[in-house]
Amino acid sequence: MKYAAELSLAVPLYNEEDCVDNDIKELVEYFEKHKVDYELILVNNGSKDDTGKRINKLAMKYKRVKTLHLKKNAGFGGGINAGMRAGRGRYVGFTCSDGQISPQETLKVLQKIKSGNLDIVKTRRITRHDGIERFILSKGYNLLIQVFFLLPIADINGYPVMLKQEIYKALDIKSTNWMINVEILTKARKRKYRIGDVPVTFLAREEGSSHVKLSTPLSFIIQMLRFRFKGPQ
Amino acid sequence: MNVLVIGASGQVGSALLAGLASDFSVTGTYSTTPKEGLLPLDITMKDAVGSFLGEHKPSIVILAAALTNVDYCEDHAAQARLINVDGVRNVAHACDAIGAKLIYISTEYVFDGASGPYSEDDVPHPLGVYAKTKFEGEKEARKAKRFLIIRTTGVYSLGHDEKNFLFGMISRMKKGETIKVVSDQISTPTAADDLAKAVKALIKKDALGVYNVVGSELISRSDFAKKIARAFGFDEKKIVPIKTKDAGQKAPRPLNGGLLIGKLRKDTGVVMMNVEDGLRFYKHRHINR
Repeated sequence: MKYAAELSLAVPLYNEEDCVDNDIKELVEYFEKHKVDYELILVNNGSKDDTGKRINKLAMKYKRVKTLHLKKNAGFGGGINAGMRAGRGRYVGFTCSDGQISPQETLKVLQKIKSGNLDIVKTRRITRHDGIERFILSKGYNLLIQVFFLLPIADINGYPVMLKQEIYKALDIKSTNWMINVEILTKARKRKYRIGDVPVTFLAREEGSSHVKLSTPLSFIIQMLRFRFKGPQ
Repeated sequence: MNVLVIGASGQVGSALLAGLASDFSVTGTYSTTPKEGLLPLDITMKDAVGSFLGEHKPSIVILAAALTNVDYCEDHAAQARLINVDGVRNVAHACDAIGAKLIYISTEYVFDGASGPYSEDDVPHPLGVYAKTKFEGEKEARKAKRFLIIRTTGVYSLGHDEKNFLFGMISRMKKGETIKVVSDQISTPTAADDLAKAVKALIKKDALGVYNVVGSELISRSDFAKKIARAFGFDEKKIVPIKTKDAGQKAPRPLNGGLLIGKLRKDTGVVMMNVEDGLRFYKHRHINR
């Protein structure tokens, strides 16, 4: 199979007009400097602000930046899936444009999946600068997932995540919500795919607003229960 | 230098004819729409194409003739193939016979629009009949000994031809119509005069291969329509954005399309206009006429 790039990285964006320019510029410049063969697929996930216009400008400026516009918000997983499906690289993956993962860490994930000949590589956030509240919520969420799905993964929602393209296609991911990571990892474990992780430092969010709200833990639990008993939603 | 523009009665061809006339000796042809000063030529008639080129002996042949009605093509595949594929083959053969360079006008539609904008290096994946026949046409053009493929899209103008988005929008806005325009087709609209300017530069540079020649702004169809309303003093609230699936268009469209023009800029120095500049250009010219 002929691939258009080594890595197709989807970046779902929902109302990220404040941070998308800088974050994408930083990632592009880092990848160019380190001669990464990549394409970035910026997914405007039904934003109500000027995210769509911003990414159109970025795409006209940077040759390897592509856009994909969803008129309606397709959910966190829906946005990721739309972007990864459009990916034409040997590896496909996703990250977030919130400045919390440095381009260096993103490149480490690619290097790990290549050098380790792994099927899936994700990150494990060992140092977090996004507040004690998020830290506790995340720990509790990971514990619940580990127990519920017998999934020995330390940090379920660590990103970026990268997969071999044929593995991504074989997994047939359907989740449109936050359970996309759980679906990827449970299906991969069941099929005995080789999963690796990269320890990373998680930075504080500098611009834009987090989409994690007070209601988020409850929403996570509902999504988790639905996924456990009804499958991907 | 003698330049022949085949399909000079159409939107792109007429703009090229006008834009190149200042620097080259230009002849234009038509097939179904006679226009003063143009000569008749049907590219589906192989012998006629050969003898026409043999008689006029242009050093450059620009093939702008095509069946471009995307939805019509969907229902008339044989006709589309005859013009958009076989016609190109006829012209490419005739070019080789007289040693002329073929400049083939192609389209953004060779891409599927899964995630654009696309560079010249991206792998085409056409969706509908029109798109597939244009891609097949590119393959025929590539068989010519000296070829230049120019991919463009959404060509607009005032003054060259009435079959374009800008002219159509203004006509309807003048009537005060509420206009439904798709908001999920993203592309890079191209001012016809800019296209002519870029083609002229590529000819002077004797460029070969594939070049994207489009406007410098990636924009949705509905946002483009709103900018037209603003630029020409109409009420932009009359523009109602709709989705492609509700537009009743028969042929599939590349939704996340658009083309990149870094190669054109790097090799020729030509800077293409964004939508606002393009509209300002046509408004100014329109007023001065």
